[in-house]
Amino acid sequence: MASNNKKRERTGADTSMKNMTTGVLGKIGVAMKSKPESVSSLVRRCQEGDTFAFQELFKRHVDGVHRHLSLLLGPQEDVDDLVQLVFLNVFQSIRKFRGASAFSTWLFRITINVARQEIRVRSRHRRLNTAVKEVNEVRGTSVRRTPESRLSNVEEVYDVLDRLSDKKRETFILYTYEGYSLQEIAELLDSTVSTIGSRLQAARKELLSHLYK
Amino acid sequence: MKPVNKECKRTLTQLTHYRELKAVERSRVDMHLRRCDACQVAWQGLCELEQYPVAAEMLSQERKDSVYDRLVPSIHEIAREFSAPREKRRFKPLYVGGFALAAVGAVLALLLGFYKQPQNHSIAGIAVSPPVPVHKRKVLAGVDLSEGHISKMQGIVYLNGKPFSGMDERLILQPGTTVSAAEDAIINFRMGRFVKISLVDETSWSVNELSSELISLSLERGKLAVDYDGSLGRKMEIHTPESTVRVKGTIFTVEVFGDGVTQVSVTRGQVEVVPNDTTRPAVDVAAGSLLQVPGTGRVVSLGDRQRILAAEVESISNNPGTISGRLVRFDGDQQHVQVEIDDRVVGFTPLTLRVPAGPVSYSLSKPGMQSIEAQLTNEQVSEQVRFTLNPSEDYVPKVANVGVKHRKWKKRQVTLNTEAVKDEESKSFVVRAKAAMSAGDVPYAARLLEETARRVEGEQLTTALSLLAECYTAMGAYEKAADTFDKVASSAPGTAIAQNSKYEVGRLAMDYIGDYDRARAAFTSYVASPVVGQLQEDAYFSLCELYGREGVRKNSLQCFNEFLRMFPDGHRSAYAHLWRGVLHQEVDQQWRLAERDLLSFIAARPRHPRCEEARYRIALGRYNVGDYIGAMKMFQEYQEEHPGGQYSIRVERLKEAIRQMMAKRQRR
Repeated sequence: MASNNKKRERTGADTSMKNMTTGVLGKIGVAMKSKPESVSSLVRRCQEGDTFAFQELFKRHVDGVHRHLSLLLGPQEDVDDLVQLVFLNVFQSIRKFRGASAFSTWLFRITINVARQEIRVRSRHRRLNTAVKEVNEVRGTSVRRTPESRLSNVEEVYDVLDRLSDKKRETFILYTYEGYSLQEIAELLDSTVSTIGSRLQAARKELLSHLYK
Repeated sequence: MKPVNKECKRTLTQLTHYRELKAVERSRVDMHLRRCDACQVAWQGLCELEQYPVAAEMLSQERKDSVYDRLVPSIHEIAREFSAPREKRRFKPLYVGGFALAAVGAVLALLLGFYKQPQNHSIAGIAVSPPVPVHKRKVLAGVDLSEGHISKMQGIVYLNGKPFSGMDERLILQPGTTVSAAEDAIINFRMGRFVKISLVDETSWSVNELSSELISLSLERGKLAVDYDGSLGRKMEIHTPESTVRVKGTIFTVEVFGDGVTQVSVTRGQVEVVPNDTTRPAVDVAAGSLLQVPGTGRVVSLGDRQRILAAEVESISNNPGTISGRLVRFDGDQQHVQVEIDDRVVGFTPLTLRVPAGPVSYSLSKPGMQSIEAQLTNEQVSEQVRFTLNPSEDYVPKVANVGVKHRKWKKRQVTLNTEAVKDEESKSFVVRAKAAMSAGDVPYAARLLEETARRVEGEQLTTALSLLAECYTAMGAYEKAADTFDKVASSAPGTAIAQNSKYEVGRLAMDYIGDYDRARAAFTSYVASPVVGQLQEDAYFSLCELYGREGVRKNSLQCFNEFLRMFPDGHRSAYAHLWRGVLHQEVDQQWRLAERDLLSFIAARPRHPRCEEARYRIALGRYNVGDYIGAMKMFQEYQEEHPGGQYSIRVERLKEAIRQMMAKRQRR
């Protein structure tokens, strides 16, 4: 389990970005080795409607947004559409960003809102699927899984996680799979460390109850 | 399954923070895990879950490009909105150097630009693809016109002639798609971010063309409200049997009546109406105007009905993540109160709508009540406006409303307001109270009736008290209502009114107050009275039911036996059979008698929801007497009649038990 707590590489300035071109010369294609433009400067330009700055922000953060969405929602086909929706929301509300938190935190909150919205939309279908499974189990058409075969694929992992409430699920995923510390999660979810800690424990307890045979 | 053992429960709690446990506690937990298989399995499951190599696949460069390409149209549209003039900055000498540098840079850029090779707007490695027609492009929901996002749907709606459930809140729109709303149905949806449409009440609408240049729609019949932002230069047309409505950015409504007459009303902006009859000229309809085609060709001013219809499209909520503004709910003690936002009628309470950010003035009005005008200043995401309207000082309009048609009531009002009210004050109070009740203003009616009850006596007092008790019931003051009904019963003893009042007291005490003694006294008094009221059967049934609810089941069973002897074909007898069937099973395990009663309930009310329980109980009875074949048949019938019913799991278990028993018998 310790290996899971190891932090994965976070979103940030891509190393390839260090060689990017900036300024007027950069726009017209003249290569100029210099430091990458700071995020705050890009955000400022973005707020003035500069689509080039937005493109730069997109390039820097798209991987992170994609990873967050994939981990929060589990395997699904339309993650690309959701990534697109996140960035559309970012650009639409970038003028409201006042710099009270880091841009990446603000972006993460938008990402998590999009993920929550998606979960809400899909929850009806999930409930239906769960009901069908339960009926099948009662009818004896499906074989009861042994603990060894309980988590044979990633879909089943998310089936178990789907039983948790939104907040517990997010906390559990961020801590366990993304390797964030409680402090970082508290900052990202705009909460306190103690709340996040107890939420994590509650999530584990709930999972244990579900897994109890 | 939940852990039942105390030790298991404690272990499970400790397992949630296993790594933080002290050595002693940890060893205790480990020891328990070795002993208890169930806890061991759960713990292994959690470890497996936490260690599962969940990893997001990497986004390839092609996919990134594809995502960004799809974003480009939206980004440019939004950037255009950003380009609105912003606050001017003061010129400071310090900027001079910056400007000079920028000027040098620009000159250099121009010089280099001459040598630059033509390219496909490639920016930092991501190519911006050339424009593709909107309907062929896979774009975001917010931009794609071919996907309608439903924000409100009431009543029956048909999509291409088939009933449409709107489960996923999406509507796929293509040329040829037809959407119809049945009577009293409403469907509000938006196409992309710039077209909002509302179809109301017996409307048939279809799509002719959806492209980046033109949105062409047809309205065959019914009412349609549109809010269209034409700032992108896309044209929009609505074809009706009599005309074509062309529009560039506005809010308007179109109605096609049964005889083919088209009525176009405009709330904001301007539309051009081109009659299909080429001899007639095209007419421009400005904001606040209405035009009928064919007709005089003259434009008249807009009525409230069209404004309300137009407000439907304005209430269509956009994606919450992308829209500013907040949701406000208007709800108060009075229903159907007209709500105006910024002097525009937006609907009637209870009403939830999205209002723009910042202070918004609203007014609440209802005939006969004092209006409220106030301002919303709260900047929260959502809020609720609770209100209570007070009756206006000259509260008379509803008097005229009693039995008088709408157009005549003004004349009648004058008469009553001057002479009749002065002469017969108390009588007028009752009339006004009745009017207030019919208008839904129950508290005011109650106040009038309380006043009346103090002034009058005899028959008038009985009438006033009866009405007052009804008011209290409607207001939810059940204790007061029961007391008042008691007063009615004592004011006219031995009459049908008194009997009915006793019944009402009983029902209120049983259903709302929970005072079973009082209810029993009231019902018994009713049943024992020599005056036979219309509610004799109901009172008797309620008395039996009351015994059942109190838990005195034997008395209840006896009472139902007596009831069914007295009223074998009464309107309550079916329910009495159901009650008696259940009681036979639970009191004295008379399974056969119970079955007979339950079967007669099913025969009398085959569609009643409690038939499900009756069938299950019949099968259970057969199972208990050892009639397994009969039980299986009834279980089968239950599953056919109520697939997925509330007893399904129990039925399955019992069926399984019967199968096992039959198998055992065969083996023997």
